[in-house]
Amino acid sequence: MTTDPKANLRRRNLATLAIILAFCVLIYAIGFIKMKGL
Amino acid sequence: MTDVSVSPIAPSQSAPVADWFALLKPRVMTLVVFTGVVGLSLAPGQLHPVLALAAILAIAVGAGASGCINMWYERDVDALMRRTQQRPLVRGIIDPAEALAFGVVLTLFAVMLMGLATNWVAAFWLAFASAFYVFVYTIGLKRRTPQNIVIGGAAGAFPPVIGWAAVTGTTPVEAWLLFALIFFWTPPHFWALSLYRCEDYARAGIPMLPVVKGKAHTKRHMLAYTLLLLPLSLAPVYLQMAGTLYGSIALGMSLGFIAHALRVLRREEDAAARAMFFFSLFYLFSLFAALWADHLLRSLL
Repeated sequence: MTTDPKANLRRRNLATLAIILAFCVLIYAIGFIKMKGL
Repeated sequence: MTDVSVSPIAPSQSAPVADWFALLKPRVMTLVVFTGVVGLSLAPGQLHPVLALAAILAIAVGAGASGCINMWYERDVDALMRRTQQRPLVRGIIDPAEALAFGVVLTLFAVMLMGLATNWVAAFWLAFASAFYVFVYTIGLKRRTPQNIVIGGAAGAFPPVIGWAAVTGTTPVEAWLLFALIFFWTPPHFWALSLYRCEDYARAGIPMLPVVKGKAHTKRHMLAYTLLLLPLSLAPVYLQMAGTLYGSIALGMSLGFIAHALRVLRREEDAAARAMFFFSLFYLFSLFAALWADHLLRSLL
């Protein structure tokens, strides 16, 4: 793990973005499955 | 003239992602997720794989978030104990207020996700377990009574109930039996740790049983709990939740746990307590793995 604060901040922002995107996909999938009654 | 360069980035923002992840107590999370998955698998009925995955994610995040709030509240005593001195909040890498916000937001996220993906009974028990861990165990009991982990241990026993509820929307006696297994396993597990970390707990002023009542008293209580676990671990066989595969593993492991407790009772050195602590982890893992394997085997035959 790097000790460079800027690199760590960039990493954290990317991780947050990835989590938000994954969450959106998951909520979409849940909605789809529930709607279709799968 | 001295050149003082001030970083525009706040400490929390520049903290490595690994330190944020460490706030979620990933090692504790592993056992929580595993027992939750077993509860989910043993429950009668079907859950779409994506929904099951979301339920497992909700249990993992909910448990991690509670751990994060626990670390926020405990940061003063964590600094006094060797075992917890390296935690991110103690090292000042992450701002306490940000850690608290992180924990609260993740708890809400986990409960909402559970409710949306499965049902609100499971979401209720997830919220209840998180609240119990934070308010009853961490804030209410831990610094006040040597029975802290006896009552507080209930928080860690909820995952199989949550997993079961995620599939069926109910919490029948079978789910509460899985709860009881973890509930009665918790005291000997944590007391084994507190026996060889006794000085650490005493320095931090946490009234663990060996600190308040002495090691001999604790060891007798540990043996009592392991004796209680023997019939309890076999209860899934009587309730026809599991067959002989689970029964024989539970019997062997429970006798092994009792043997460890007897060894700890007879010996003074820390090595016996340390061995019992690690065996206890193996014990719970084996019991739940055996329940799972037995269930899979019975569904195949």
